[in-house]
Amino acid sequence: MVQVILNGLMIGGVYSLIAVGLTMVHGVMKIVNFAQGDFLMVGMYATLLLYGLLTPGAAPYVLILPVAVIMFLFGLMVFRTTIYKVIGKGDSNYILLTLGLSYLLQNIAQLIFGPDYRSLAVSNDLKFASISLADNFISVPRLVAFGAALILVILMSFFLNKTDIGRAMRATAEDRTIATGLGVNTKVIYILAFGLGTVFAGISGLLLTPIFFVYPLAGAPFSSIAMTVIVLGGLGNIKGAMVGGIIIGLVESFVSGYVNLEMAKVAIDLVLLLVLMFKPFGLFGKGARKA
Amino acid sequence: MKNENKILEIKNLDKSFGGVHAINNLSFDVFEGEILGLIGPNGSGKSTCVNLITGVYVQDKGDILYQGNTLLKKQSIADRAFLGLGRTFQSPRPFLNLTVWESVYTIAMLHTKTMKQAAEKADEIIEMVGFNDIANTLCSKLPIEKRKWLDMARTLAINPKILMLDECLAGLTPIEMDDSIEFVKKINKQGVTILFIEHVMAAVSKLCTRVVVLSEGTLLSQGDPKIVMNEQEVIKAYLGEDYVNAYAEN
Amino acid sequence: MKKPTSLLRKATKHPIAIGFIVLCMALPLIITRGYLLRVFIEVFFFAAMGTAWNILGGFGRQTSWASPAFFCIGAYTAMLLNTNFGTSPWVSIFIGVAIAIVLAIAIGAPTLKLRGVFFSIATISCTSIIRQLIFNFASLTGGAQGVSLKMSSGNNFWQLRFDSEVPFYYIAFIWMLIIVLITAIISKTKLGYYLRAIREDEDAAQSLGVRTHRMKLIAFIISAVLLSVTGAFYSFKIGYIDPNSVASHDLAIRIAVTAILGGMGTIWGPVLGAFICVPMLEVSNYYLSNFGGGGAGFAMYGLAMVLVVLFRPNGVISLFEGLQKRFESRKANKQTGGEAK
Repeated sequence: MVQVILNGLMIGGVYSLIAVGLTMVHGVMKIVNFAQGDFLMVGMYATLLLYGLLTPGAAPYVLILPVAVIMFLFGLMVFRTTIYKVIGKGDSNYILLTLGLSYLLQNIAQLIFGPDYRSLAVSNDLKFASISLADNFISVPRLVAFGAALILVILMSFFLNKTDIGRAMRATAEDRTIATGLGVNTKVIYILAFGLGTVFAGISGLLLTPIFFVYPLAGAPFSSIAMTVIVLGGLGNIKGAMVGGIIIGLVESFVSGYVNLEMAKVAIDLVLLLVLMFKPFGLFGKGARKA
Repeated sequence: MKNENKILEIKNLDKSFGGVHAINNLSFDVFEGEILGLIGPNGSGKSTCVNLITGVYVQDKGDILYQGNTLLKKQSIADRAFLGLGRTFQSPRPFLNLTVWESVYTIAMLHTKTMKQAAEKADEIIEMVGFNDIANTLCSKLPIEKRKWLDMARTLAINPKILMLDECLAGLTPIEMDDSIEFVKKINKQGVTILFIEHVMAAVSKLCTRVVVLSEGTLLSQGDPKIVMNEQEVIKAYLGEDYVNAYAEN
Repeated sequence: MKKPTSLLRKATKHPIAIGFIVLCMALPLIITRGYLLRVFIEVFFFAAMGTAWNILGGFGRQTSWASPAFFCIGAYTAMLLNTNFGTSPWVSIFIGVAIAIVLAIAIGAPTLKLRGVFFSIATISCTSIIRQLIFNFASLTGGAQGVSLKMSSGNNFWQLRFDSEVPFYYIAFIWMLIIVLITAIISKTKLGYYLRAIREDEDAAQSLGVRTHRMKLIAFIISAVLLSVTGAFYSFKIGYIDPNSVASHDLAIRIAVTAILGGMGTIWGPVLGAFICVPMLEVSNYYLSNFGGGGAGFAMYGLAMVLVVLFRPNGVISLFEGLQKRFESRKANKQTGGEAK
């Protein structure tokens, strides 16, 4: 029981991190990035490549900064070439665009790296390390992933609530016209939000490399989970993404622990549908419709 | 007041959002055929009031009587439109990728039997509004004042008995405003009761036969516009708002 | 309703469509290669699915990812009844339709209350639940193994078994035309206009008396019925189905992309989309399958999607807008009302 909860929390933390990036992008520019999971995959490969430069067996966590920088530049590039053109153009445009990006990224990865499953040559000491906690075990890589995710999400909320740029970002999310009127440069805000969303996906990828295999489709499942999480929590809501991630992690862990993995997927979808039935804008979404 | 029949009775209405008490024990009547101004500073609950009448929100307490019958909670927004409750929105909501004629035609279809009748009705409304020359223009090409008129034209297709105009003058030039006032009068002459939500005072006194003043969700005053607007409390409520406005603009 | 004479008169106004239909009807006389016919059959099926999706997705602009849920209902109903009881697909199609209607109400009634992305993502969940249920109830559905038709030879129209590709070519083509015709009719009816009003502004439409939820639900059900029938035909054409082929999220994407890429909310857009998407995948798989583990084909597919959004946001059919406008202006001259589209 405790073990199941711990597992759920650990993976839920990572879901939160991916979802926070996704929900932030939606909050600011009303775009759901269907390729978020593939950005995570790009982060995994970036980690894989950079890891070659380290002494074999080292912990990949030292790469957080360089991967973050690479991902930010990558996000910038994607934004400048494509995304900015579909802001405010309606759902179908960004859906088609980001789905296209998703196919493109998956298959470019396949062209470059081939379809093989790869993993980092992390030393087994780290890979299989675990902390025991009264009869229960926590895998160290998962704990690190959870901890790092938590720290990043907290830093993010701090950034959004306490810094001027963060506040400008929130103002843009609230109402673009008013934000522009208040002198906020929304273009910069867009770039920043998208870049940060990409960085979050990339770092999630890095944190997952000691746990999961790296392959071109590695990110796909995370795309759908992240979308479920942000809708569950309420689009554009950072707190909602955090809580939603943990909830989904726990549900997945419980049902796969007690029933099976297939039914865990069903349970996640059912939770989402049930929540939406009672809270049509998600757990923390703004409920009242303004006419 | 030419007619003493109440078309709409608001009785002890209450509505809160979270902790905010938007409408607080509000009661007033609307008489058939009049142009009633619903005025008050920003956030005084004017729009919320319209949203309660049209069914966008459901009240916490109180009743809304329309033609003597209580509007039920289960009567949806669309149901109420069929009863003859028409409204426009603060910012116009045109069907951007339809033409002016198609917009009216689509709505006319709902309230006529055949598509042919709908087409005739649409022609009639376009004619009356004077949109003949732009009938086949896409709504997305229209300037703001035309969009506001189009919103009203579309509403006429539902055969409204009462029309709630939510700040239909905001953002217009003085000349456009005068045109719009004439237009509203024209609609009223066809027997449509008008609930006119506004905070441009000049327009209200030009147009309205009676006003209801709201402040913080409660009824502050009601009666003849010229008298009401000189009342101490009303002036105070508005002065307060002017300061807020001046702040927002800087 | 329409008299045949007026239909004929209307036909002469659409020379491109008529030319296209005649060409497709004649094609099996010219093409004898089974492979090419199979590609065309696939095109017609995707055109049918894209057009069915387009009713709610294009006219009403409600992006549904639940198409495979209904497609797989039709496919599984037809296949399972046939393999277990020998039921003719012509019969089981109707059973599939009945189930699809019930399912469409069950899925649509709650989810269509949601707005925008909330609706979209709820439909992803619905599809995924159905897929997992098929996996999980393997004793009934065959699970991951799927269901196959028994081997047979000879032509049997009642059982939809043929030795050549030609009969299915015509079945798929005619079925696609029927769906296109249904869409064309819907676009002229009240439902079509209400859906467009919902697309433009749901709140405003509602405030004017459009029963938005009911209209969306009706469109959703029509779409579900058409997809279910398509699923039955498709499964008999392929002869084998499994959850990953007929109930996958990938299929949902391909169906929507067909319509979006071709042109949402237009009558022929999804057909055009299918003529682009299906051959593109086929060609790239055929020529590039040995290149980069098959990645090149899908990379091109993705690139095409990106390019269309960036340069043709209203779909490829907007390239033909000039032509369309000419017809419309001619039509407008004849009609006084100014009814367009």
